[in-house]
Amino acid sequence: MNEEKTSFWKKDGVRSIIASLLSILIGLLAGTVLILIVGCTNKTLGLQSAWEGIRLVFFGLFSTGRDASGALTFGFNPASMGNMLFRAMPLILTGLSVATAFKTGLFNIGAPGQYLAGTCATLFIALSIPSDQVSPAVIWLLAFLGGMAAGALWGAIPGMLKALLNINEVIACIMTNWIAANVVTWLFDISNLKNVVENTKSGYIYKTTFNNVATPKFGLDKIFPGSQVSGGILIAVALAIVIYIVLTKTTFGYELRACGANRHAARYAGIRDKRNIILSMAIAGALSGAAGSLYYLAGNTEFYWNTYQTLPAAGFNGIAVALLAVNNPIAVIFTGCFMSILDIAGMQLTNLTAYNEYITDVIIAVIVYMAAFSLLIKMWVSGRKKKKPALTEAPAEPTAESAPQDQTAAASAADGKEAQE
Amino acid sequence: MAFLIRQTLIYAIPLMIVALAGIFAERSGIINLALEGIMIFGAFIGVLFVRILQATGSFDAAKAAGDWMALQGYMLLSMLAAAALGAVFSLLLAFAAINLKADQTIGGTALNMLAPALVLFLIRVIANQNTLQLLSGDSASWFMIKKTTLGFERNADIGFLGETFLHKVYLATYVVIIIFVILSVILYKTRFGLRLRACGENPQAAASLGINVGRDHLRRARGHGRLCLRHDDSQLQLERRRGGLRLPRSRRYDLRQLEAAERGGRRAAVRSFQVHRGLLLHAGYQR
Repeated sequence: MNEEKTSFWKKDGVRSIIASLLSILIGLLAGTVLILIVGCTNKTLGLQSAWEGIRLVFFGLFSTGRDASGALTFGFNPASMGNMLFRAMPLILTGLSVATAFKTGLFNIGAPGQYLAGTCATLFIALSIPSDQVSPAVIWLLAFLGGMAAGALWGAIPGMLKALLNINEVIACIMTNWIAANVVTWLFDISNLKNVVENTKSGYIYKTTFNNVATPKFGLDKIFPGSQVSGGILIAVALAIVIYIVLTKTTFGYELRACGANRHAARYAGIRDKRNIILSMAIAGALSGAAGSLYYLAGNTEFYWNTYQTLPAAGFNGIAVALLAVNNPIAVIFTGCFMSILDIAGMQLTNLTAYNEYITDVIIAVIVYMAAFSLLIKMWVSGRKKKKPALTEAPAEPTAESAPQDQTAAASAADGKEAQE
Repeated sequence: MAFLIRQTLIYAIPLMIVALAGIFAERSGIINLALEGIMIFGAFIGVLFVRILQATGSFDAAKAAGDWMALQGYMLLSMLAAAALGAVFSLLLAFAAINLKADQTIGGTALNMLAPALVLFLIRVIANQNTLQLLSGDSASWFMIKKTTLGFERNADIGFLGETFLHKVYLATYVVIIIFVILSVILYKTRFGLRLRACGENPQAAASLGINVGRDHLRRARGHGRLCLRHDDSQLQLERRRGGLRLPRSRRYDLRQLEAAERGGRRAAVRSFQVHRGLLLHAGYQR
């Protein structure tokens, strides 16, 4: 990228951060505008409630409800904080998954399927090994590793299709998503893990705590009383750091990134591109699998097994997390937290005002939309004039950050990202 | 048999036209992952439009006067409205992918996320629930063409073909078939279609011959946005229609959702594209 240490503002990292912050700002502004429009046009809501909604969108994490006079109060809310960390955990891991695949030039839209595969394996292992014969700690480890392995296997399928048969990984991933959703539903349907003890609940799998298996809290529940937080967040952060080291400090990571930058050049340089593509998808799958695994191993969440027509949202939000982090594993930690802050804000919005939590989805979607041309924002930030290539004559060679198009699309993708170099 | 063919048509038509939309995009060189999002948006606009019309009382007036032509006209109008706004919505993708040369798959994914979120947000504000229904009645009662609508006796024998194609059908089916034929001809038999395909296959070559590839792409993207929407509206009718036969799958979302909401896990249960689609189809079914 920009090798010379020019001024601070021209550094690539700084520009990336500013571009991401701008995306976030534009997303939040879009949410604000939407709330304002709805507030002004809806007679029952009015400007006063629109103002409350806007404040909650920005500071929902610190909301502590309403005081006696009905005004919103803000302050440190340990339960929200802990829940934020708990919800950030799967987002960080799926974000890492998508980011790792992006580094190898693959768009891993299969995170939901890998997440489900990991969830399924984990729940089966955690619930079917009797905890009175095997130590729960061993079961926990087996379940976690099993979940990662299942995710890796599921991720490797589109990887193999891409590497060996040159099938577009986006299509293969979307299809494996649905296969996973149906297979998981079927597996649980014929299993005996359905929760029949609490008869107010139907369609749920036992919590892992029924078998005394749960992620240790590491004292986090003392810091954030009343929340769902578990030690999983620490594992997620540790995994992010491991991925960062692997990607940037090892030969293997270099090979992965080389394949992403230019698969053919990498092969010319003696890197086994096919192996790397499969491995990259397997690692991505393992991370998504770990997300599902840790989420349900927390012990206080239950899995709705009849998932054949739904895919877990954490998987798709991982795309947003990775894009916002510009595929940097360390940045993924922060963007994952940011997404879950939005989640919490949405919940507070639903609880405290007439608006609802879907506003956060709108904001996230706008952020992803902005991220699609974040490189353009980056150029704009740096104030450099973009060498405007003729509309159709931009080289279609993918950069490290752009997923490769398939053959037909590559010709017309007119990918202007290179202009930044 | 007549029943089977009717049902087959009802399921095939939406797939057909949305596939055509995909072909238009793909042939012009744009991967359109946002088809689903555009469909959702179109469904929303369709229902909203009918609700607005109903609020003016024109539906009841037409029904009371037995003016079924007017009712069919309203349906076509709602399809047009859905198509027009769907085209506008798909411009978002066109703008990102063509003018800003952003990654098409990511842009498409963003629209797929945006549409259900925006639509559910608005539905919650408008109807204070997760489904948007017609103000009164359902689509079968307003729009379905039956023997009696066409002036036959209730028990009249109109033959196999009549039973299949004239009884209990929606005008949308035939509109969509006509659109399908026209657009296929445009794509493969006209200069415009040739240019479109040229831009998709080799934009550089097309540009060298003086074709404005950007504009062509844009037009394409818009065109197929319109397509999806039309498709969508017809799909709504299909779902609605299906509602008369058995509890549609989509209906189950609501039950599950309620259940999940009670456990406070609503977001996890609700927020995925498919659910949203289910919800909206359900909305359509209600309509």
